[in-house]
Amino acid sequence: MSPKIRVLVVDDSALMRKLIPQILLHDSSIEVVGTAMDGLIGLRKIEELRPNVVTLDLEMPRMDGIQMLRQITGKHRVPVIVVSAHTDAGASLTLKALSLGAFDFVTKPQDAAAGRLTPIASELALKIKVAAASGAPKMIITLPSAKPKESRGFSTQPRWPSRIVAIGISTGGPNALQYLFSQLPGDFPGCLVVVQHMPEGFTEMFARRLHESSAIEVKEAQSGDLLLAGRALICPGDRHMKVRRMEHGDIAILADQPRVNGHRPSVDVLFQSVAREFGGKAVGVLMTGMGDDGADGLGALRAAGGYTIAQSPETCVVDSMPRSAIERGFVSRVVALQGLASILQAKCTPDQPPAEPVAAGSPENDSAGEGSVRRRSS
Amino acid sequence: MTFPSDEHASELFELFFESADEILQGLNEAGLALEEHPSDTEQLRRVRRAVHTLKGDSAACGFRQLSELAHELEDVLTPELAQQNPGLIAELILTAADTFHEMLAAYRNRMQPPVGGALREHIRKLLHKPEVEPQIPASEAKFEWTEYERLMIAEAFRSGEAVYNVALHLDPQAPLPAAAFELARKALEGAGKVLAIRPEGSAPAEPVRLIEAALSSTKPADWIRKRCQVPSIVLRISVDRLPDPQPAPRDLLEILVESEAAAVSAGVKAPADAAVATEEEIHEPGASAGLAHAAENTLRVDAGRIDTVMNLVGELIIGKSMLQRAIAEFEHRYVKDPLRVKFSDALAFQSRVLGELQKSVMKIRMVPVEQLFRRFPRIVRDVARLRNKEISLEISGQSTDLDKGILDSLADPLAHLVRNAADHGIESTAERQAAGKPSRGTIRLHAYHDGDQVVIEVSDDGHGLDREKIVRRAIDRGIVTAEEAARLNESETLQLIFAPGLSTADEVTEISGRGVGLDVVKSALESLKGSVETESEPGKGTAFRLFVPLTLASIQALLFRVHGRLYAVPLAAVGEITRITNQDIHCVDGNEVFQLRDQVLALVRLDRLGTEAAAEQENRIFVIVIATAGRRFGLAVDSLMGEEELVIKALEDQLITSPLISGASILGDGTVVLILNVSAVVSHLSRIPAVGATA
Repeated sequence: MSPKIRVLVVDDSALMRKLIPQILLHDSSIEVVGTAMDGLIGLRKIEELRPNVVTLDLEMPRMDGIQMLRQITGKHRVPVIVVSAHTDAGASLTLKALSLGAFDFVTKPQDAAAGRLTPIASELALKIKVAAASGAPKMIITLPSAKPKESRGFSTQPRWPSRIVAIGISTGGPNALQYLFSQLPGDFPGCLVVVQHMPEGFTEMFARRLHESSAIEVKEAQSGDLLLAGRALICPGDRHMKVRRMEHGDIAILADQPRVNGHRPSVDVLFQSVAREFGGKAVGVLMTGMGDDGADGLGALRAAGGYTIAQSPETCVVDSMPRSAIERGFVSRVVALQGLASILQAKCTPDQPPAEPVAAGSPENDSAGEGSVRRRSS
Repeated sequence: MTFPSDEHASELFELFFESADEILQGLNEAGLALEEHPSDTEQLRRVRRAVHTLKGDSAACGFRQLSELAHELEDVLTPELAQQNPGLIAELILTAADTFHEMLAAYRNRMQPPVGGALREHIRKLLHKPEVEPQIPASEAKFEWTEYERLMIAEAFRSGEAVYNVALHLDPQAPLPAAAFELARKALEGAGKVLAIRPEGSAPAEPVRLIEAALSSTKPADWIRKRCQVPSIVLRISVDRLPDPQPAPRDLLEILVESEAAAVSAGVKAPADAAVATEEEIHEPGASAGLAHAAENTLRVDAGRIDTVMNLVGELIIGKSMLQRAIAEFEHRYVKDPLRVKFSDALAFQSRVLGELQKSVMKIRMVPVEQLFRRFPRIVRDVARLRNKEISLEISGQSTDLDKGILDSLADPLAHLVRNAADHGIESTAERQAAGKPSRGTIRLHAYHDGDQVVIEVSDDGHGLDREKIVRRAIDRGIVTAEEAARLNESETLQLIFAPGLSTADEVTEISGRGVGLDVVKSALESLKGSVETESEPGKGTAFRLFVPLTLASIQALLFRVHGRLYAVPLAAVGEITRITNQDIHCVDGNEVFQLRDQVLALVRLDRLGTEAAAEQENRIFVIVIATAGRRFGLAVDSLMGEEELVIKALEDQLITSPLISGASILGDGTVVLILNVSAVVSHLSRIPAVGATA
């Protein structure tokens, strides 16, 4: 039997220091080796106990989670899973923690009495295992500080996108997306629709942060939002996102159907819908994350004539999502995170139709005949 | 997977309630501190973090109402709001402590928690929100169209039509609401082209009170209004023509999008600031480092488990004295046996370790009285506010350790005394000034060790007890007769205030006048094998001294025999031991007294306390002089048996009914010892005159 994964729980609430080890008790491959009530003690215990993974509360006295995280990523190189509060402030702090190199996050356990801990327990256990397997953060992306952006008013003639780029992403997503978006120019010709696995309440803050750090417009999607060039719509947590072509323009639609692959939002739901509505006008990108949500959807997109991309496993925090699509043969091209922006730019630029042969089933399958997904009648 | 198990869950709840209580205590203290220094942002941050923890913990336990309220509170506990409302913030936190306390109590008893209206009120005040939210937010037309709908509106303008935002307010009393909605919608559709409509769909789940729509039409607004009139269904119609965007350089869509973008960027600011604030929080004073460290090594154990260990240690002590007796017998029988020495060495070693063990276990149960004292600043402050007095509370000796069980039982009596002192003891500011005293009254809480006992003193510098009033009341209520009263000395007079049914407060106040008097304090202390004494000087103040044993588990006792039966008194209550002859005993009013140096003391004979039977008296008798609660008396005994550490066994209620006996213990040879309840004997003593008079 392989050695147990040693976990250190850092939380200033005595209750959480008891509850978190308890919900991990059921997983025999995980052992909580210690708890700490603040960052200073936490750092000392990391030295002492050499845990494989740290779960970290962000709001603590003396040395808070963010401060501790800076020390950990700089010095100790232990993967950190943030245990986050369900609030706007909590979301903001959590996203900050992720940008500082936290591996992933879970929301604080709720309703211990009502027996609703099971999903949280398995989510936390899974994330701990993946974090332990992937080790210390591979890449901490430092971004240029956000430049104030001119608010983007559009004229009565909306800028319709040349392509719809559907992105599915999970663990490791916040940083990868921030990097990708920061590489796209403000006049990016495509429209990005994104499903990032993230709970309710976090996506709005997440979209705002992305908006601030990118030249393109990023917004949390609302039903009826137009798919426009130079715009990215992030699916809100706990909803599904689909797209629909309408008489006057194409829109995003939010839906509340049950979880798919255990997820809401689910990448598969978005990809299937994009495949159905846009087919060959679409680009599908499956990026870092655990599980296989989105793999089949990417297959559907490819079958419908869309161009499909997987983020290269070595640039992923967790590679199982893109890897499962690659293994199933659904991927037109595997691209490193660093090269993704230029590929998307090339794919979406209408004047330069790619020179790949047009043949269904072949790795490159792109029928880029028209300049725009929309044929405007006027 | 069934999780968590019941056991785990209940353990979690225990932990939750315990840490929640600590958080509330912290809130109370912080509230008081902020009342003094409203601009202490460090304090405020601490409060905020505590509330944050409470929020998370209560959510984890599924106590949603509490979690939500804590969340609301957390949101308003910002330095900015505190700065704008320096007067409100302390009150807010104290109210929060009270509200959370009530909610916790309800959760503990598995009841529906109160809604916390007072706290919400405070939060609203802080946010300067109107008292009552506008009553009909649901029927307020908002005309929030999606981007696609806005695009359609723009298209309609482009094709030369006028676009109207139309709101139809439906009569909630209309019969068949679904049909009413359908009719209203049809009317709208007849008035123009519906570009957007709320609610969408044809069969809304709930009765609709308001329909919002964007209509494009070539007709004027009045015409649309007329078309939409559906008698007895549509109560009110508003039709607003949207400005034509065409001539303007910026169109409607643009304005809408821009205002949204502005809202987004304004929203982004707040969380960014919050993140900065949390980074600053790191610089906490290092002084708390040691404390936090200590807390980290603290283990929370259920008190019951310690009691079990304590009981077992008690059994061991009994076992030890059994062994002791057996060895003594052995020594007696085999005087020359070399085993003797080995036995006594082993016994000595075992006793030493056992003594250490007992001390260590007792120490586990010991907690500083500070745990209790912490509550009182809040109580004093509340009473002072209500009564419009100025009172400061001085606390000393808070690190004195006391058995946790005793401390818990002292909570109510002490709170009662402190409330009394604040409410009745301390005079109003005007009275104090008239009496030439500082206008601010002082209540002192002081704890200290005194041998095997812990003394807790509650004193005030108020007007003192009115002896005449006490005596008058006592006579009125039939507690003493006038002639008995005349015989009472000063301390005996003061003891009268502990009699049931005597209260000297002229007015019953909501603070201390809950129908309970000081008799409750007294009986609580008696059940703790403790006592209470009073000292009061008119115009200067009153002091109550509570004496309690360090622990209830065992006592050092003096053993003696009366009529062949073995008794014990706590050594702490023994003043001295003396021998007298029958000639030294005199009779006063049918009671026996004797002279000890220059003092005349009552002589108590255990065989006469309960029964009238007088035994044959020996000429020379031992007298144990008991000194407790400000009284001294002599206890006549047949023979003294020496000192012993007694492990107190609780008595089954029915077994020994006399209040004069507080407990029992078993000696090594299996003999049962009855432990005398000294303070009960004292109170019995004060009734003796009455008994003597009637006999």
